[in-house]
Amino acid sequence: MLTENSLLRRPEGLGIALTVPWYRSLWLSSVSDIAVSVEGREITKDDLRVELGDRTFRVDELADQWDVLWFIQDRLVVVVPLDRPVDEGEQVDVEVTVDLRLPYMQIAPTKYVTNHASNRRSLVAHGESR
Amino acid sequence: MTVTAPARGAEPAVPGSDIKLGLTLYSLTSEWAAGRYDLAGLLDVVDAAGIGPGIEIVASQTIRTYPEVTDEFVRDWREAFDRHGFVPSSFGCNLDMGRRRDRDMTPDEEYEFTVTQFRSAHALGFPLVRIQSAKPSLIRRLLPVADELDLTMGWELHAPLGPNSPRVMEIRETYEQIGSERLGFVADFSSTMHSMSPTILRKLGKMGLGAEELDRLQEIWATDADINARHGEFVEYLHSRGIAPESLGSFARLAFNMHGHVDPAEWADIMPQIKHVHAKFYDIDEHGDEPAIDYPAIVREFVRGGYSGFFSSEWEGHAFADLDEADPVDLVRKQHDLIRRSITAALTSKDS
Repeated sequence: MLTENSLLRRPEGLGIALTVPWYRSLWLSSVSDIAVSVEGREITKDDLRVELGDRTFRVDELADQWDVLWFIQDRLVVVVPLDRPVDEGEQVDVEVTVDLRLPYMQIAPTKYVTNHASNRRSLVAHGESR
Repeated sequence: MTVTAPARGAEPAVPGSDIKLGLTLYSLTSEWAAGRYDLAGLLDVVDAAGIGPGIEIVASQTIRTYPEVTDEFVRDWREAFDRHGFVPSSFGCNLDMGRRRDRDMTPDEEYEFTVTQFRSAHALGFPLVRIQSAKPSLIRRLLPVADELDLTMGWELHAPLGPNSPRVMEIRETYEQIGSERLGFVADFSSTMHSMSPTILRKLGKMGLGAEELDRLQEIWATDADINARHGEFVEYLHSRGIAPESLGSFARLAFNMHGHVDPAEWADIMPQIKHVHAKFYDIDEHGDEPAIDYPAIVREFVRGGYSGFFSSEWEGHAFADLDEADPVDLVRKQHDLIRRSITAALTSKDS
């Protein structure tokens, strides 16, 4: 989910660019939950914003996005507010957990196989802050 | 408007059998997901390595506008296929019935979602669609569309199931009742492995399992209980060793889901209905063999049974390895050598 280019500079604090933690593209409604910790401190979920292209969602709005495809080559950017924006070259310890519900793997009516992906890395911030 | 693709053929891998080679682009999932190539670049790599000509896709992985295709995508696709001399082999459909959170798809929605993919497959020149649901009512409804678009529908027969598993027997009965040549199976060699792949064992070792736990896992894997029972037994064993099953992520279950141990001879029971093959593999060892899948034995069944169609190489090691830990292109090339060698051996023993 995290690559060495995942940590982005943002005026709000920082952004984390995620790869799809599965082998195919998924509807955003397949993302059941996202949790983020920065330097070991868990960020309040309501404070997170999730961007796909030029669209922005709160985590609890993702469940309704059944017609928005998170294409496997695109990155979902989780924007995290901090007291100050991270600087270019600054190293930050981030941990991201994404829970998926796989829409084509039905176990029983309205019940689907899930996938829990968690990744923690110390990353260097880069890019123009926007 | 869509135009039917010109009929293209692929040469047999070895004269004397009608097995043709190619790969599913799923083998390069890690490189694709990392954005290392666009589609044109990915096809260039396949051509340069000589691991075509059959090309299979998982539509939900390859097509940005899934389940639809744009005219532009179709045009670029066809140009690339003409340039490289590739042949479309299988279009992997998905049935995203849980797309909405408030309810499952209705039967009408399942039909429409699937028909959209059938039309995409046809526009790209595919003769076959891999399907994931063999619900009789849905199959019956899709048949006229398959007729119109000249498509074969192949239900994917994958681990832990085999050709004679109860669930597969039900589908075979449905097929018999309907009696259409357009219905068949995509045979995935994950069903017929003789042991667990060293690749997943290595991964589980890295995640903390010791030699004793890995031995026990393989013992449980080799029993005939169903997947839930075997997984349950392993989870219980992990608890008894003070290991939290969650520490292994989804791998504890995948071990049972991705690897089946059905006898390769069972493929003969459905051979006329096998329309396409996922030549699953995880690794190729220093002798050129797949350490957990007996290719010579499996290929012998397909040569004897007169199988005509693709062996679409499906390297799934990426599920257990990080990007650049292995080179899928080189592995597929080696696996094609193994398949050719196995066909030749089967043809020789057939004649003698």
